[in-house]
Amino acid sequence: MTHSPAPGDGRPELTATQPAQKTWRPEQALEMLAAALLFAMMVLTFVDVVLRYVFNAPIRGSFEVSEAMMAVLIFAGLPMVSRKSEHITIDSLVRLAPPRLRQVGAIFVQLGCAAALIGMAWLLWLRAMRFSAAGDVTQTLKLPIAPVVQLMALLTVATAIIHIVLAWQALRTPEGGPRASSDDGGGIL
Amino acid sequence: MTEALLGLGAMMLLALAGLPIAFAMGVVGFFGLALVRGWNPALASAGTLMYETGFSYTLSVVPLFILMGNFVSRAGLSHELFRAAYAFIGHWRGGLAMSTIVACAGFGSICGSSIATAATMARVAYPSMRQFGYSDALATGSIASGGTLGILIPPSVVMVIYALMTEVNIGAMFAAGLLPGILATLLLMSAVAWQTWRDPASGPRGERTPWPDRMRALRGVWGVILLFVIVMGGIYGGVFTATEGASIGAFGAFVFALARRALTWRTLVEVLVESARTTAMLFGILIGALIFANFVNFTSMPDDLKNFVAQFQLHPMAVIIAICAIYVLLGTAMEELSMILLTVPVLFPLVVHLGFDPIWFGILVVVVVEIGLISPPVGMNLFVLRTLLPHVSTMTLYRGVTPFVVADVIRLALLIAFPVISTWLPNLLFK
Repeated sequence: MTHSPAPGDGRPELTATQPAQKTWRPEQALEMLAAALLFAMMVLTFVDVVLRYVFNAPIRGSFEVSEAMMAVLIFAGLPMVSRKSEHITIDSLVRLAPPRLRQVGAIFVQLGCAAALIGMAWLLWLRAMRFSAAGDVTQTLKLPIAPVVQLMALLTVATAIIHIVLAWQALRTPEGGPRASSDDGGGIL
Repeated sequence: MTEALLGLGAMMLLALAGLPIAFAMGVVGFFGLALVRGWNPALASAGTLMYETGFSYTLSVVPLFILMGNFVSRAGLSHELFRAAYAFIGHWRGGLAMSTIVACAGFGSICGSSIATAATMARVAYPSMRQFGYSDALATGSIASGGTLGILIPPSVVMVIYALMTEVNIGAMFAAGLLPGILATLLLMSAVAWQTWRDPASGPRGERTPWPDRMRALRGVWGVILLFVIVMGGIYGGVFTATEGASIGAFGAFVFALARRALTWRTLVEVLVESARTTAMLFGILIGALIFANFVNFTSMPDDLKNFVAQFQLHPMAVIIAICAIYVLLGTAMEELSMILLTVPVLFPLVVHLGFDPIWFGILVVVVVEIGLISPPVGMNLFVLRTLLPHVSTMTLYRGVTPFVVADVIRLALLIAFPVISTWLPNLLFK
């Protein structure tokens, strides 16, 4: 197994060596979206707790907003995880394989991921259509749910596209191009 | 049983072929369920799992605790923690290594990640130990093993994941980790004592700190104590839920990092994006594991396991010991998070069926993960140290960590033999 420096382990000298890629603008937009969502989630929950316990006046519908932010946060993070090949992968056997086989394997793995993600996106989109047709809204604030689920589906498609690009890169470079290199529980353990 | 075993086999095969574990679990779980139950139920359940895992208020506890840990790491409180611990026990034999472990325990009380704890402490504790002539083996061993306290002493992201998978109360889980955490700290310190008793030159004494300075050093860590007391105290006391506690913790850690001028606009975005990526990666696995567990639960495997135990009249304790032994062995070579996510859904019903406390089993799971993190050849904390301290040879790392692995196995045995260590506090607070 190979090990990349884990994100979230508080090593500025290591994270600082990965400057934002100038050539990949959409990713920066996603990063800002995810960062803003997470920060907003933290502040919203915190302020809600303080208002509830200290002033006995919780924010109306903060649960629902948190939930929606959480959903988008996860799916906005997926393209970034895929782009950096940070999905937990067991690659000890793969590394022993001859380069040719490794390349073929990498292409299939990326295409497999893309196919699975397209399936997921399709399921989410169907659900969004159903919500939209039924006019489903959240309980308290009466916000429509469908657009959030649509956004989740679109972000999943974006992730699938990244995997297709990675498959293309694997095709172009012998040995299968950039290898998935994170089986370190990336900042969770 | 056959379907489940075939599924497990297919999953392992795909994973070994290089498919990310999240996808391997999800794909096999989906097709498995389709074969066992039909296409429509499989499609419906995959869609529902995905949607509900996303839209979950309870699950927002995960990114918030991850964020708290990342802010805390960035705030760099490790220096103060180490100095405070050193002021009290630095003049003992092996005192700096022991201080490292105590400081790790302190850091673990506000950070829920083992890797982050080890990485943060390495930057402070290692140079000090080198300066005092500590052997590389002892220095790295104490940092690597001390780091694992991060996931046993609450808050702990692994505990949150276990609690979410098994529907155990997160607060009770956090309460359960406290005494085992203290036990672990003492045992790791004993391992240092044993090593320096055998080879005094490997860990010389530090300087004795006079009492006024000790008090001053203690004042440097008030923030850590405050954050722990508010977040954990609030969750233990039932003042607020784990999610609320996590948001307070994250916000507190943010204010901390801000006050210590550890945050610029860029590093703030970096911390947030890092946390978002970790969250997305984790939820990918969580969704995959849930789809897979859903499939396994529709096969006869859970019942077959129970029957198997009944048929051979295995003693329940023997089953637990076997499970832990397998975990420890697997953990030496496997990535621990995926090991847990894969096996807990299958084993948990059996453990409960045998009449064991789910919270106690959760602590055992966390402890075997800890052992896996420092046991050669594939231990995450060892890899972190190898990245941070490239001049220390891998063999030295392995040698240094061995006594600590032994201490951890002794701890596991104690926790199995005396469940009360894990269950006393949660029973007191939550029953």
